[in-house]
Amino acid sequence: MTIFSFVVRRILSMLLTLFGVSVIIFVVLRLLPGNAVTAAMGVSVGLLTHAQVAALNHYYGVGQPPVEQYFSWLHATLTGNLGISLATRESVSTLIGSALPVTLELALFAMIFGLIIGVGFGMIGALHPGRWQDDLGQGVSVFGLAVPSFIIGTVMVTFLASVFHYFPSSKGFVGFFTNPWLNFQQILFPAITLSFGVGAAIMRSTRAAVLEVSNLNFARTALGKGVSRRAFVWRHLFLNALTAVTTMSGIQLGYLFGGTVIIEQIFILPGMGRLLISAINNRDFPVVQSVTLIFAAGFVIVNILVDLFYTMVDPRTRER
Amino acid sequence: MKRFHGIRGLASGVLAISMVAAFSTTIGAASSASAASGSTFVVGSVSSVLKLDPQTVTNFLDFESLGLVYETLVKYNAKTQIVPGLATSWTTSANGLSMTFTLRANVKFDDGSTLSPADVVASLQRAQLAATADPSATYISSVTGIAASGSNKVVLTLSHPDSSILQGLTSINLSILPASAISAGTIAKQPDGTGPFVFSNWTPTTSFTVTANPNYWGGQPSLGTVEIETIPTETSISSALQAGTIQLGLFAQPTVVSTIPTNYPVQKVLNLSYRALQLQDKTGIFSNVNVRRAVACATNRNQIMNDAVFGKGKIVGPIPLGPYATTPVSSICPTQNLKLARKYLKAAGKPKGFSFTAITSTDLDSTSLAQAIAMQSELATVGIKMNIQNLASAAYISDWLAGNFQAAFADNGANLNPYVMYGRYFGAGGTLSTPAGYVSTKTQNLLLAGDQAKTATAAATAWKNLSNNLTGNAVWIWLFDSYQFAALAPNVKGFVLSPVNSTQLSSLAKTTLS
Amino acid sequence: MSQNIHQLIEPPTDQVQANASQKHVGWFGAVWGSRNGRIGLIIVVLTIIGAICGSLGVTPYPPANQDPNAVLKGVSLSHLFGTDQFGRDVFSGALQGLGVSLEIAALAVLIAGIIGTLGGIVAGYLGSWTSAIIMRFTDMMFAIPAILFALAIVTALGSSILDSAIAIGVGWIPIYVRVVRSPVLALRDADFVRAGRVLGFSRSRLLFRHILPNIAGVVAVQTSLALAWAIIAEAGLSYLGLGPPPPLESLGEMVSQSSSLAATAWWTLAGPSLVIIIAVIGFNFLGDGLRDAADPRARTKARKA
Repeated sequence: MTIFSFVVRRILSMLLTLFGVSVIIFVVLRLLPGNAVTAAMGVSVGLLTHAQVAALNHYYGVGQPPVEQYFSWLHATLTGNLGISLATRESVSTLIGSALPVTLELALFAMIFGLIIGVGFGMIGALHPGRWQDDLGQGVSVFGLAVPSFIIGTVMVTFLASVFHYFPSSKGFVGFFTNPWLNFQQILFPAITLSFGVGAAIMRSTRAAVLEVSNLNFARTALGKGVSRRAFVWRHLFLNALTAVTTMSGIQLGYLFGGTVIIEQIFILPGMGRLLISAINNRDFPVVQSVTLIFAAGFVIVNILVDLFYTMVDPRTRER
Repeated sequence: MKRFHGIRGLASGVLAISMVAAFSTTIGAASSASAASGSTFVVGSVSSVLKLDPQTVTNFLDFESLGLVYETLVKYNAKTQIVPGLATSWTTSANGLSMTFTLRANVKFDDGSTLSPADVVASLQRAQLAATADPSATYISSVTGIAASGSNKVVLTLSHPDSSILQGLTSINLSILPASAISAGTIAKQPDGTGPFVFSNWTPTTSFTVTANPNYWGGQPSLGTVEIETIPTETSISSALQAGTIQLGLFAQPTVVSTIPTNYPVQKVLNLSYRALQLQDKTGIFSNVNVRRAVACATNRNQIMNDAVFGKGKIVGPIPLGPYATTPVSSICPTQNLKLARKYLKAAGKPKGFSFTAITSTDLDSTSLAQAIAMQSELATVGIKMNIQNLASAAYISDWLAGNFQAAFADNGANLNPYVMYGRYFGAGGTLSTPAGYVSTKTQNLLLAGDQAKTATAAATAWKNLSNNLTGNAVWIWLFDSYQFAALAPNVKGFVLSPVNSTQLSSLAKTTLS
Repeated sequence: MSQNIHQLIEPPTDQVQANASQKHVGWFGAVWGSRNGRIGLIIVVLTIIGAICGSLGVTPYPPANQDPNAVLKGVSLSHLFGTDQFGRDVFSGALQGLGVSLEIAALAVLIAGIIGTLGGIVAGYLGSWTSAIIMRFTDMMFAIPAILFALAIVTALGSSILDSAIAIGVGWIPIYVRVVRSPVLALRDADFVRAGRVLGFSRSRLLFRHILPNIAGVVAVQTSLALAWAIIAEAGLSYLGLGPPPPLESLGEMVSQSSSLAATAWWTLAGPSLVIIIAVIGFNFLGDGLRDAADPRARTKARKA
């Protein structure tokens, strides 16, 4: 099979998955009791006259048959504007257009920090198995996996704010191109917060991969041939561990998207997670649906890229 | 092993770089924080502005934000008295069927046009249109005609004498909009009012920004820009305040407020709402007045308030605040009286107690279950068994509206005018008489007497009678009113959190930063 | 005669047990034998005891008791985790919170484990289009962030203990499906199962007597890890204000309530956080231990390394 047909097949399967995701989300949202009207008015709905309730229902599109709602959303999505937010009357593509870059930037930086922590500690640990370097790395990974990100985030925010009077994210988010320095400060701490969990997972797979590789015959052969140890580390171990790390990173990137939801709440970043939570609270179905679809698409695309990378490194996997 | 400097060096290098970055970041922030104060004033709230059309908003932050841009004919002052707004004076005809408002001169909308009677007519007519779905339209439902008179007067024709009209007209939902914007259909996109601030920018779910109005009739505010920023958790609001990036934080959780350092002054006002256990008195166990009274007397409100909001509130009767506030809070049992409760149980023929079910919805009021559990144990001491059913918001709302409950823990909106507050529940033909669950001609007459009272003393007497009537019959069990809080940066001067909901931030027009 | 054949092809219990029985140690011994497993087991037992005490109200003080004379007291012998701004004993609160959290986590994992394991067995054993459909559905579930499911379900159902458990459990179902499916796939073609099929054993007998015992190890490992994850997920939901309503307080609720005190009264945050972290470490370690027990080769490899 050529790389090309592999890619085409994966993309077709991705479209099928995304379609399924949109249906699942639609069904789950239909399970939510209440609608945009009751979400906005609460018990004060009782104060309105029937004519007013009818006007509101029309405004929010309440009472439209579900299938019709799904297809009008699908149509809007395929034509690119992703529908209109019920709560704010903005086009969903505008809302996502401003939220997505924030989340992507956050995920990217968290990934970078996670890779630095994970690969760094993982390699050091694997090269000194059973020694204190390894124990330290293992200890860090145990805590990285066990400490929920919101505890790290909370401690960071509260401590920085009340001791150093420093909380850059609370100034109102600025884009990277508006003010790179402030933008970096705003992203830095949430990214560090998120990177612990990612780093811990990457560290585990790095360590395992390096250990496995260094036990293989070619590694012994290379050392036996008198290749300098440093060159060996870089050329062989690192490259061979790369595959494992890439796979793990792909998986972690998917989880990162989920992790941004809470972290954006704590660090006041106007990203996709915050958009999602406020949309769920307002029963703003088109926004929830589109945000979810984008999260899912991100997850699926990353996985395809990882597979693609895998395939190129190790053509045998293409056969599966 | 010493040969591995490469990797170790790399790792420590990265560590050093990130530490340097973190450190220099801190320095940078300290300097930029001091530069940021100026005349920009940032307000932090967990809520976010959802809509820009003042006549359709329901969210409290929408009221507060648009209240900076729009004005109403009359308004409340900090003592909760009605004072002139866009109308400088008003008169009521002898038969009470027409009211004439004289408009303030030289008031400019943000688009530069001058306020005219036509704007008022167009605004109130728009509010009355069903298609607008103005939630406060019922406040002016007695208005049958709105007409301009001369160059600066507006006349409202009423179907019956209605003194609550003035209180109703203070609502931001009845804001005065420019007639041109109404006909152009731009209200929902581009706020254009007469208030102290001019709309500047709105980023949904994130921020709402206004700037000082140089043409404001009350004088240009000292703050150049006011930004209302959405901060999703109250803890983060507290952090932002301490970091100096916001100047005012709005809080509802006593747990967070109690942790704010003392150099950040905290102001509190009672919510314009009250917690009550609503009883369905028309049928079932609660149709017996002595059963209701037994519940009222067995209730320890202080304990309930303590458990629900850590005591950060006030025990209230039917009229929670304002000039006619109910004192004492109940005419039969202002505090828990178990002996009396047992007596009422005996009188009701249920000396061993009875059982009933109360609904709560923690989605609508997160403290409602805590209230219910506290009350459950109090009632148990006299043998009354209260079952608790916690419902999701939509289920609660539909049951509540249909009166489909024995008892319901409710967080109901209050109003400074008792008629506006209870006319809809206990008045003849009230829109919420089904959930109210109690119909009595006596109560209806007391409401009318209060609404039509000619003098302040007469009104005070009438509302006192209403309070006694409601608590004496234990129509509902009124519990408490909780506080909401505003914490200020140390350099804020002149801000007073207004006790009037929907204009709590009105003193921003007079606030300065030192 | 036929009985002899039966005995011959009875499932050779799985490798673990075979391995374990040779050394005359059971599951427990195998887990206890690995360092992580031992630590995990101890922590998990302590955690469960603490949770039971918290749920039954066996705490040093009534958790909701506000003592105005003991406000924001630091860590001491009378208050192991200090007191909060209302004079409540943080340790008592944390025990009660642990009870709530663990109850939700256990229910969530129970839900995910039953549905996911069944899904995995069906997908692995029946194969062909049933498997294709289940796996495709699993892919879709995987692509949706678990937190979104949890948020949507909690908003839909409410936030009682069972609702939270469903919300959290749904997110782990696809993981069970995947983890269970591959060993079932392998077992389906294993000799002893084939032989059973040839002998005309009923499908349910094959599934319950032959296949289920052999995936018990995998499921046990997954369950331990899932519990760790569920505790974190529950804490996250509560942190967002979507946990069980007051007066019930889960650990996440306590963390979020005390987070603004972190700088002035660190113990109010440290107490509940520590309990979460220790519990999660416990279940993670126990998972490691179970994995070592289930796959002795991995263990020996790790030892050598």
